[in-house]
Amino acid sequence: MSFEHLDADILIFGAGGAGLLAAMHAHVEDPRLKIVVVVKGLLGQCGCTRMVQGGYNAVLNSADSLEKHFHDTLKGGAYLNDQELAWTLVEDAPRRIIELENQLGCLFDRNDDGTIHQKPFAGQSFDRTVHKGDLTGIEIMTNLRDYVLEEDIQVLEETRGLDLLTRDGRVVGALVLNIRSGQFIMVRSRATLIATGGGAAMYKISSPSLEKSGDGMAMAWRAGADFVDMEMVQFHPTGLLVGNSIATGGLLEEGLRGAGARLFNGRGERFMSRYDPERMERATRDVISRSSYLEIMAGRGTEHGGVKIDASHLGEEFLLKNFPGMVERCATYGFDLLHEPVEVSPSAHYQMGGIKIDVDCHSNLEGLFAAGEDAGGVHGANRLGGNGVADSIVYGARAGDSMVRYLEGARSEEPSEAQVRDLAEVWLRSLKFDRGENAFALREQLDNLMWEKVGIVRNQQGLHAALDELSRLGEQTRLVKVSGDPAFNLEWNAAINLANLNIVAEMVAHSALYRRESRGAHYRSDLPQSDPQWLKKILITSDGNGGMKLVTEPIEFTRVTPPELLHARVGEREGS
Amino acid sequence: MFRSAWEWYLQRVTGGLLIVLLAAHFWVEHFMTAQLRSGNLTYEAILARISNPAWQAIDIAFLIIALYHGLNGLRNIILDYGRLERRGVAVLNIALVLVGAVWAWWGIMAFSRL
Amino acid sequence: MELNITLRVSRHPARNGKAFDEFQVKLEEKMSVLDALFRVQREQDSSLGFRCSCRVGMCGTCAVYVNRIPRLACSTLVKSLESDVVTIEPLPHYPIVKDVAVSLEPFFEQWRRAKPAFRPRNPDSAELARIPKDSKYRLLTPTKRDCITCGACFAACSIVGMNDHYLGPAAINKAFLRILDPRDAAREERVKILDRSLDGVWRCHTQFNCTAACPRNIDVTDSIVRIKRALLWPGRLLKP
Repeated sequence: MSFEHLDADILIFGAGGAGLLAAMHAHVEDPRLKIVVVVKGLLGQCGCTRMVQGGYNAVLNSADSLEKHFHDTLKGGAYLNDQELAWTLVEDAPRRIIELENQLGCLFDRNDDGTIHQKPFAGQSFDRTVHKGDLTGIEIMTNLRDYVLEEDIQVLEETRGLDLLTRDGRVVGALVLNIRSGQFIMVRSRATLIATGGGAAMYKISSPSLEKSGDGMAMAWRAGADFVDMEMVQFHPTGLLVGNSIATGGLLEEGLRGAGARLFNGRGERFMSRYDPERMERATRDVISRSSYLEIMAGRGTEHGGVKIDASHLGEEFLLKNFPGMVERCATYGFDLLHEPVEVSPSAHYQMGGIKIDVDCHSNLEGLFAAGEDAGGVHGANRLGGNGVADSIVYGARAGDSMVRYLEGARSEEPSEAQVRDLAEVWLRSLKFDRGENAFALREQLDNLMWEKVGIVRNQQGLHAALDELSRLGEQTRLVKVSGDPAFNLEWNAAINLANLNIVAEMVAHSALYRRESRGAHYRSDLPQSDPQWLKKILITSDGNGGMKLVTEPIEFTRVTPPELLHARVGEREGS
Repeated sequence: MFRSAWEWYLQRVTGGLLIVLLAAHFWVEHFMTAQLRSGNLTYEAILARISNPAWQAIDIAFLIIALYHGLNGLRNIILDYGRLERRGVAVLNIALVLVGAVWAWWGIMAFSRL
Repeated sequence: MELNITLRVSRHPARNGKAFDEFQVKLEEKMSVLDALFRVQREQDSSLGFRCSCRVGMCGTCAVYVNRIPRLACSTLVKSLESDVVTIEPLPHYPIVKDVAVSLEPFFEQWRRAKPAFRPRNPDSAELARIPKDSKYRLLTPTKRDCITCGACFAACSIVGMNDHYLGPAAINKAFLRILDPRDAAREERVKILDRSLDGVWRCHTQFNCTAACPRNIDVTDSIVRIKRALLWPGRLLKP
């Protein structure tokens, strides 16, 4: 077995908003640093920042305020958010928008008078979503990519992280695979950032780009990182239903509902009036997705098992002007958004949970940082539309700055060749079997299992069954056989994806079973109420034998006390 | 205006002029001369025309315009194929200017032998 | 009624001495070319090499030659091709990585030479620039900024096919966007690059192949022609 060797001061996994902002900030801070970005697809052309439609929440109007944005974020997150992380998001978001425009050359849409246009999104007390049409991600990623292309930042395209290398609890580098050549690379790094995005693709109907498979989370878990809020998986309410096509789950953006599009069930009833008569279609994503799901499960779904979004009353002209990308996306698959309702389904979208970080993106492991979807705590139990890309950009930048500060005192340590060899051996195993399990078939099983038992509506029995199934799937995954050689072997990569997603899935299921209440995106049909006692985080740590140990951790309400606690206290006083 | 833009522009201008000049040339050479029409073309008649300074000016302009258009066109074709590097292009430019200059000089000198 | 189509997929390196493999795939109403490739990969030949990421037309990584036309595999419904045989090949003008996946390196080499990065006039401004309604940048660029660098125009351009130096349609469009941007400070430098006789806009023959190939319907040729015009009459476009 041969390795290429590479030395880096900063090693970044992932090249979405978080990864590239981190690279940029670190590079600006200290241009002498050797920065290596490992990206699973093509630079700027993979991951989910690219796929952002709606936009980026930031307070830019004097009639708006950071406090309002903060309160919206906490309310949306059912007060499970780490308040310092959420406040930092809100506080940094405007600065980063200005940086994206004035330093990177993005141009977001303007009003007629030339000032920035901000559109309405669900769960917001002010229209604060900055956007470029309805395909905002292209504007952001294109400009970021152009910056990176011209700077002295090394990018390894179509290369994926396999495992972090540790020494005495410190992350000292990583084992990396060049997908094109099939060659292993041993990277020595002084600081390492996980910014690969989460594992929402482990659901049958899901929206993320296809290559995303929770690699960062799985690598961090194997290295010993702590995780929070892993039960919290967001389902976006309006994923397209395109038959058996891989396009199923691709999103219609939230701005449509913000602009007044309506949802109907199979019988033509505007069902949100039953679940949230006040906010209707502008309720937060968790509420709408759950409502749609319950309608579908109650047999009131559409022909293809979804609900319908109808934007036709908004008028052709309005839709073509404001949502050309959505109109086109529907038209590609033969749907007419301008004149007809379009069938949609909740679609697994985003993990609120992730690696536990502080405001400077430190994980519990020395030398390891996390930002963006890989990190948990910012959004609590549910993320507001428009806070996702803001999170990636804000925390990506912070991670870049933070790693540069960290490097001042950090030494470089040689990873152990033996550890690298052992790890590589494990990954190579599936290529050597004569017969075994099929990675694609197992992946389908995982996707179905998660959708049915660990999805929008959960219960104790289902979660127990899911955990049993997951451990069986884990066993089978170890027996996957892959044919061909290592170079550009998509089946081998599917097997690696599967192994990583299994880990993330297990964390989600364990955590979902542990939280004995319903809150935000986590809904238990056997425990449908929120319980103020459960206003705490679930932390997943290693039990020392590779297993998961779950403990609760109190939330510090450093800035705002949740209303349910206030009520509870009033109740206590009245009772005494 | 920028350099390559000039080259492009002149190619268009010379192209336009060539349409007119070629048509005129063709007409004058083959149809217009009175002797030609009467079937009585003589050396003296031709000499009289090409000794006329106005005709000489037109012919010299025609020559230069055709040379620019032709040689620059050749250069465009060579550049389109993209086989030359920067230095190659410089050599090509010099070569084409030389060819053009010699050709133009040769053409103009023809009048001096009248 | 069940309909099968024949998927002819180019193999690189050749498999068992064959440059193409044929697969029978059951046609479904909403099946895209990408779906068909996945179907083959999962059910018939797991060694197939192709690339995709977002699968909804935003990432620009799945462009392939479909019946000799550059298209995004994810956004092309098989049914719309109205053909029993669908031939999938790698995009021309690129080195092949495997089967129908190519390396976009030649595209990005030109992209880099066009200096794609923004050069801010006011990098430290704490305000967002006011861009008036009638600003050329606002009027002309919104769709043109939606370029997803899929490389289809570069594959369709006949000049790219014969001239390795030519910047190509997408890179020129990129430079055009920066030149029009009132916040950009490198206009002079950009214009000089585009005016270069060896590789700049003057190599374009205005064949509209790039515009025809663009899956985002960007009028790339229009950008190139506008640049040509601006080089001829700098006052028209280049005034801030």
